Amino acid sequence: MRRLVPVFLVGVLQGMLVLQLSSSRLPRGLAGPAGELSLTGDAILTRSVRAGERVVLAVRTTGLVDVTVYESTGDAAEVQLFREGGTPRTAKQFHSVQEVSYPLASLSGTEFLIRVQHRQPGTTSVFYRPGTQDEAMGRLRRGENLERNSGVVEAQDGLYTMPLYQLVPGTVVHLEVEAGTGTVALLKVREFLDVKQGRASLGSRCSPARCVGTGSGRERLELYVSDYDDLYLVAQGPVRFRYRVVATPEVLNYISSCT
Amino acid sequence: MQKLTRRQVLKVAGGTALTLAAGGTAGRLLGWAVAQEPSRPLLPGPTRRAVIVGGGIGGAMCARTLRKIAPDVEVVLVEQNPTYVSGPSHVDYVVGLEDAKKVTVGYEGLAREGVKVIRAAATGVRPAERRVVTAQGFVEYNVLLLATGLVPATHEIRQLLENHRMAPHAWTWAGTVELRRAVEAFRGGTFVITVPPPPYKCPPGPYEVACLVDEFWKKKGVRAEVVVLDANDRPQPPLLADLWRRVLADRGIVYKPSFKVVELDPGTRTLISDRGERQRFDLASVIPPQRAPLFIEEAGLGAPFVPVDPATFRSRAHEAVYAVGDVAAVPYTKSAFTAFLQGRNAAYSLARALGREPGEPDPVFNQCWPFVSSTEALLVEVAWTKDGRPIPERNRTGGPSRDHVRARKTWEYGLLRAAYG
Repeated sequence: MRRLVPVFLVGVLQGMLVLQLSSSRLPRGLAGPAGELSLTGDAILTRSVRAGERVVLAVRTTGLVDVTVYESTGDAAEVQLFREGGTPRTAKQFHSVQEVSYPLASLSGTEFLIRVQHRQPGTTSVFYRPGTQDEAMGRLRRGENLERNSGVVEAQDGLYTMPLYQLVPGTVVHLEVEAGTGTVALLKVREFLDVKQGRASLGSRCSPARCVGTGSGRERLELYVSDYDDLYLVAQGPVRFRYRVVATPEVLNYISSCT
Repeated sequence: MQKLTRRQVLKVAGGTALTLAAGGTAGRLLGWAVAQEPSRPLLPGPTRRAVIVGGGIGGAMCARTLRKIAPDVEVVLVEQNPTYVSGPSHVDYVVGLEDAKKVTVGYEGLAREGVKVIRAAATGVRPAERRVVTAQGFVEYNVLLLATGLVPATHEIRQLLENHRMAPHAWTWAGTVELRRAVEAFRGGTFVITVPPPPYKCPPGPYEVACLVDEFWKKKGVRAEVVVLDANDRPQPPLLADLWRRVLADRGIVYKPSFKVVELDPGTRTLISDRGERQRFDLASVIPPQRAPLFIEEAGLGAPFVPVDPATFRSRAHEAVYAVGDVAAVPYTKSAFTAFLQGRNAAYSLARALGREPGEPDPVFNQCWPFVSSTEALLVEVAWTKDGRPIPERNRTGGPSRDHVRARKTWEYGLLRAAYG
């Protein structure tokens, strides 16, 4: 009888995961160990988050994926748009990633929809790391740093752009080139627009403190964010790079809850 | 030609202003300007002096509280304006709901209670010398409170500085008056109001303005489409997000989240986002991002805000410097009410720093009643522990109610009386 208990628990767990996948569009995934979902095709996943929860979504692929995270506001038309492949204005987009980690957090409880689309075939794992906003704040109060979001991006030829999320004063952005001959820069909005709209080249906006890769002569950087200005990741591929947005205890001066 | 940075431009402007005000004789004789700091003390050297820079609700409340709890402390308030117009009433004034006279106060009440009011614009702080610099001269302090508020960074939106009259906003008093004139003169079309990224003063304010002008024009029979372009991904503050979405939708107000305006095209009367999206307007109210005054950063007190201990408001960089309200890096909401309570609590810290034992004030909390129409308002309440930790179980929100309007008005008039006498 005792032997049957773990088998039963595994069965329950797998059943829950299958239920979660059943709400997905094109669900072609399998539940792996420790609650990890394994996908080989595109999928839309849903995840409910209770008030005060902070669940970290982690996606990793052997191919290349686009991940879009949308927090439902109860607007049925927006949910429908998302399910049909559209992108509501508030969705967070992570293009051409091999890995991405992003917290799903809510003050009042809500549902998140996550779309995973494969740019290059591969096996993709999706994992949710449970936690609460209080725990995250507690870590900062104990003087520890806290990763807020991160990813590994593979930018092909041409210009790649992505906004960085969750920047407040006291945040450190880590950027590191893993492979390739391209350049990656962290640009403020004016510089970003100049490059995006063709008024300036990436090289001309590539200051030493904010740039890695061939154009800069350095492979990694850490940028301390001391203001509320937005930053954009702008890459001229081919280049594979890793970024991490890390909160230091200093952010406690600026935020009242940690997402 | 080399591009000038914001700092360079402001330095040149500030230097010129200083020179003109202080007026180096040699410079004048030679016909050129030399930037120099005024060397004239405005008051004799201090013995037990607290200097407060900024006479908004936080600075005034600090001055008044300090006079009560430490009567032997010399309290000096440095403020450039002759009067203060209550911040929360800017939004009501836009549609004529509030009489400016009722919410404008002078500094006579504070002066009667023994606060020395110096009408001057602070242009610098020298923490090593414990000195505040103004165009007229300097004031020395034993302890300093910075309560300057934020300034609109209009230059951060391309072409807004040159065309600001096309898009007035209610986040300064002059802008509020201009916006009211524009709203009254509006004959129909598309009105667009923008919401900047945080932190900005009075988070619910832009949505209140949208609701109030929408109602105002509907009553007048003006056909207007009201559009809110929000740089944030949800209406602010986050606790009111769901209520705001419902209110805006009920009124037919178009809400576009994650639309960060970075440029105004005056030729086509269009606002452009960082994603390249465009929104045409007939009348706009563009609220720029907001920053602490530049002299604070230049004094080495912090950038963009002054990092302080949220319990004592003491600067983490200089022990004799304190900061409250919008200019302080604190986890409290940037609202009039928290600024008021921060000012009160900072007075206790200043008194303690000057050798007095005034007791312990209550922690900061926030109450706010944002208008959704001329007759109804929402409610939001948030509380923190003494050291600035939020207390989620004390969060409270309330839907549209007439009671909330009454509570708001009673609260606002009471706040002014309490801070200015």
